[in-house]
Amino acid sequence: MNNSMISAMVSMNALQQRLDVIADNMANVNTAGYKKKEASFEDVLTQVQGHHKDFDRTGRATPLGYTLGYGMRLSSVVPNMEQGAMKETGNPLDLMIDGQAMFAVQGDGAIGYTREGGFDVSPDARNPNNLLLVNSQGYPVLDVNDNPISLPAKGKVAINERGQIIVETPTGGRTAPYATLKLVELERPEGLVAVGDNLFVLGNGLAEGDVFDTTPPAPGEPSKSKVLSGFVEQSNVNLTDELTKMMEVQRAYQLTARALSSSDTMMNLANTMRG
Amino acid sequence: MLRGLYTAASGMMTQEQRHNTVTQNIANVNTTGYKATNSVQRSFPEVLVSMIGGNESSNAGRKLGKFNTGVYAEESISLYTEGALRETNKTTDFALVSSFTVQNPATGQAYPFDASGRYVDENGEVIYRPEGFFTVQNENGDVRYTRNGSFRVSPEGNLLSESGYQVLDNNNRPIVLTGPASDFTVNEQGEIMDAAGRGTGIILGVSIVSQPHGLIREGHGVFRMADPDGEVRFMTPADNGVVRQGFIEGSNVDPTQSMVELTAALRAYETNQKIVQYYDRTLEKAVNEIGRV
Repeated sequence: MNNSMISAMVSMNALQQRLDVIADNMANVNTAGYKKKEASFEDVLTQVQGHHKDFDRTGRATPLGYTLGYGMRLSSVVPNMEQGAMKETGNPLDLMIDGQAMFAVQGDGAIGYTREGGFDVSPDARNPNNLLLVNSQGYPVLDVNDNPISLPAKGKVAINERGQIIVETPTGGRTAPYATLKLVELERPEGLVAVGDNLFVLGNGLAEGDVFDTTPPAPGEPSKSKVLSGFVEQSNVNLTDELTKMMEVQRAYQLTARALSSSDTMMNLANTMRG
Repeated sequence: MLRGLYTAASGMMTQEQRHNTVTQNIANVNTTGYKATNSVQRSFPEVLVSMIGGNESSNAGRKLGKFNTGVYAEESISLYTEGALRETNKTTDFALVSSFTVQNPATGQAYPFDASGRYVDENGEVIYRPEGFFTVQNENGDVRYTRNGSFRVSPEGNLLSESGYQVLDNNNRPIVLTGPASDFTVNEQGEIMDAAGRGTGIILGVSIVSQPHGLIREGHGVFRMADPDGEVRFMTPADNGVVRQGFIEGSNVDPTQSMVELTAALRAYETNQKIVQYYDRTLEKAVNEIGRV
């Protein structure tokens, strides 16, 4: 088949995929803690059509052979972990992380990591007087020892900058930290895999320490990331950016479609050489 | 058979090749670090035609003139002009901004290169401007060059190109980062600084290729040297080039020019097709009509 047609077709596929990524981002412009995805491209494998050595004539600038590619394809889609804007909600269980850290929740079989801190409580099956701290999808939030956090049902909860949960029960005053949220500093975003529900899990064969800095801040030292209670992190999607990219994709798609119809005309010319 | 039939056919094939090349450019109008290619055509070697036989002996051997018997797509030349820089604010994105100079040994002055990085001296010698590339290594350990500086950090800390090639420093060693992937800076000379702003001594390997047209495109945004002994050196502070962190270089394909070229290739193809048809009709007459009674 015509090389031109192949290039155009391959590229239109890739552009379609890019449009899908943009649509995904735009759909999540209001999802708390959402991290936008970025698609990147590369040109597809280039073939070098061989030339006989007699083709090496004066005035030629390049080595022998005629190089020709096969369009371009999507090479990677990576999340952009940039921090989103903060939004005040006043709810003490709405948490936002200022910094690179992530919360850990107990997903189905594996620990999931998320930036979305709109937490909630649900009844604790094991202890009827307690409530379990869960995220918006109902996954239990983990503490520093990877255990679910069970809070006394009667009490006022406050969470400080270091992620320590302080419960003020009706009987007594402020107690010592009841539990501490697990916060892991993201060091290698490349090692995370997005699994939906705003959750990320560790890539195949990776340990937590490969992707995160898990050492807790020394007692006295400020932590690298701060937990802000009463705020949620908004999506980091920038609508203007996405719309600009969408226009870029549409025009590139149009241009490539023109190239495709042009090569179609060319094949028609070849076919109608003899009436 | 009529000689021109084949000449027109070669024209069609050449225009098709040109069309393929333009489509490849159009396809990569948004590809980071992509360098456009231009198709260069050349006519077949000229032949000298002389008369044979003839009634008058004086005419035998008389030279009638020279002509070409066709055309072919000779080479695909990359255009190494800089693409537009786009700010991404990502710590692992880099763009090269360079305008390297070469001294003319005769005058001691730098060659005044034109916009496409070419200079033709009075003797018709063509001198090309050296171009800078990021140095990467493929899975077999071979050195490759790329303008796509959109890198990422693997969980092991290796700095990798978008397509997974290992990025090298200016001693041809793989670059491995120890700190967080989002917490380092790179200065204009390509030296990597840690989160506290201390130099790590690792400098991004920016290769300056003296003969950029000696590079062969491999796809995935990388080039390789055709001649293993070709002149390549690493950029030094003395060179007129800087590394910009948080930027990527867009494709240097011009959509308008590509569209025009696409149409031109198509129409030239059509013209050649028409010529083939005219030859066909000529032959038809010769075969079917001459001698008919």
